Amino acid sequence: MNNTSPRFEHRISFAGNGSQLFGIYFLNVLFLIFTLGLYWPWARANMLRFMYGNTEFGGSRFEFTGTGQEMFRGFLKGLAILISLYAIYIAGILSGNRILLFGGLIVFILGLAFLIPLAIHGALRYRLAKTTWRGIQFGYRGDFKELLTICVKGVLLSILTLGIYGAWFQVEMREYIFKHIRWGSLSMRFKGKGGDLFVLILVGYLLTILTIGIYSFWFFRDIYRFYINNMVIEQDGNESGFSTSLTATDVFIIMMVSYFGILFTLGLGTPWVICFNMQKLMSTIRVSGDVDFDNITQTEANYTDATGDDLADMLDIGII
Amino acid sequence: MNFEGILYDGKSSKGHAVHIRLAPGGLEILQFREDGSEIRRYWPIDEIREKGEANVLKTVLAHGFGQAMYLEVSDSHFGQALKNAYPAWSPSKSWVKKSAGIGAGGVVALGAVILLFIYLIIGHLLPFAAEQAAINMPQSWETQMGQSLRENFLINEDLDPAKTKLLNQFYQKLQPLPVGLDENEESDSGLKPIGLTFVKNKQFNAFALPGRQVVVYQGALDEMETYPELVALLGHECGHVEARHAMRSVFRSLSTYLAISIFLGDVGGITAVLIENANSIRQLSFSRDFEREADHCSHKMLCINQIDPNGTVQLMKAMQEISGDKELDKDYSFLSSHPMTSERIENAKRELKEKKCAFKESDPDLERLFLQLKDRK
Repeated sequence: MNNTSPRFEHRISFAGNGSQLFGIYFLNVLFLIFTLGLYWPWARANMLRFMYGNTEFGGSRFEFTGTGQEMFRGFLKGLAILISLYAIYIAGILSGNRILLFGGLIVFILGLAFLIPLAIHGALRYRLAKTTWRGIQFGYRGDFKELLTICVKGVLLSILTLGIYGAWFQVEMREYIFKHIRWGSLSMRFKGKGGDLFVLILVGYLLTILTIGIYSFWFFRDIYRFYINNMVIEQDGNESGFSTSLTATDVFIIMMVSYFGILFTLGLGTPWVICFNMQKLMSTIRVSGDVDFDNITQTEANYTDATGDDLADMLDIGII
Repeated sequence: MNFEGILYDGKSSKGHAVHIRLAPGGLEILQFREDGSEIRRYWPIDEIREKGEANVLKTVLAHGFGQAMYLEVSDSHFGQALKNAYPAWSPSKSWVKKSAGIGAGGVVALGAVILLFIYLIIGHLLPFAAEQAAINMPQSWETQMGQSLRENFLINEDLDPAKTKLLNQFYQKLQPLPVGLDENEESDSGLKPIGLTFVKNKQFNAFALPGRQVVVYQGALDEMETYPELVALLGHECGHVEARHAMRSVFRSLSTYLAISIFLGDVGGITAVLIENANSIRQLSFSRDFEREADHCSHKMLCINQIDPNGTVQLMKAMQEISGDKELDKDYSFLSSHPMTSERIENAKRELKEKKCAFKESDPDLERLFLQLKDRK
């Protein structure tokens, strides 16, 4: 990076509005009820299409090209895996036999431990392969075994250190994932340090407790800044960095709007709350540096297995 | 008609300035290269989809899937021109697109429809389904559940085995209500007879539990003057039993909790609710409809046994006296869902007039057992 002003600067914005999302959101709910939940993959595809389609960068919008049908296949596979894990667990309980109960529990826990990185891996592969911007496809080239190794190591060390290693674990996961993300010919990097995150969390917790929760707005802002400001995009040796101008006041407004906007409307206001929050969060982000976004070339291949994406959602893992 | 636009060719993110002509059957896209040469593309209209969400400022069209080509036109007239030139073309077949941007009126209408729908489900469909489930539930499950509930409910109560025996003797002298309140039902239906339990407690209380069980408190008996009142009380509680009100109430309230949990996305909370609800059955407050049905059974019980049908009215008057028909004391919470006592007395009086039935002056056996229960041997 040179010291002169950045050659390129772009903003991210979110253009979706609540009434558009309301139509999608609540028809989704109706269909979900009518189909006893089987509509779920289509409902998700509709939401993703809306969220991506309204996110604008450099004057062009992203697009989610995945379909409910693809996600339905993944949904069935994910469901089968989860049901069999639960079946083993419940069979263990029902057997009344202590050894079987214990065995069932072990299989269940190990299964979930294995499933979470699998879900993250699969979700990244599918979701990014289905994300395009100006026709340029994103991609994820990570290796499941490597991710699993990081997870197993991270979980074990976190347990051994009573959670302290958690900060380094999170950063390591991000580093690995970002390193393998492709945006056509662009690649990404996460430059955050586990130690920095640890200090942030430690100070944040302490001050939040000392101020009876008031500091939580600054705490949330710092965490958000840590994740955004450490994202880097690379192009043939040139770099552009992400930065956010999110303030504690913004966080306060977002939290209040979320709380009252959902509570006082009995949930009917949720679509407006989602759009408001997205607009607020996205508008604080800026991407500046030497990367020329008008000069990305297509590199990634098509990929259509959505099992991981569905699993991630079932396990409630947030991705991107 | 001609328009200017930017084409992204699916190979790079570089936009190319193009001329667009709305040709018959599709778009003709003309791109001039830097070296002066030109590329002419033709996109048949039925292979084109409109990308992204409704956007008034810019129309974005895509040709192909995955690594598609995109055409961005920042001309507000372009969208309308497309519609005019290709009236049969629908940019998106999905309802999602159509539902987007439905406007304020649409939002209100849709919100109303959703609320109505939720009301229909919670208010009608679920209670109906729950009712069916309760009615069709095997009796053995209900018995099992009733057993464990009884143990829990009466754990802190002082049971009176001697009077329990007397009370059961009293009940066995009576012709029971038809099983399931169905007149045509054979009396030998395989169901076990209703079991009664007597509790030493000065509170005015009596209730029906799942699994054909009735509990009577000493306090209720203390307020009675004559045995027809006890028959009326047993008729009322046995009415709850035969109509399976306990199970139906449990299922109803559970189904409502279930629906609310699902709507709020808190499926994990259901288990907690189940546990909590098991406790709240303790109060066993039935809906007013159930209470009315049970009151009819009171009258019916007296009639089929040829006992003075004034027992129902007398029992209710005794209840009215202690409650004073005022805001009911917490101790009498079991009464709270009963229709107001004066209203019930009116109903009972009307029934007394309309459904006349013959009765014998007195039954010495019942009289004796009743006095024994009241310690007035």
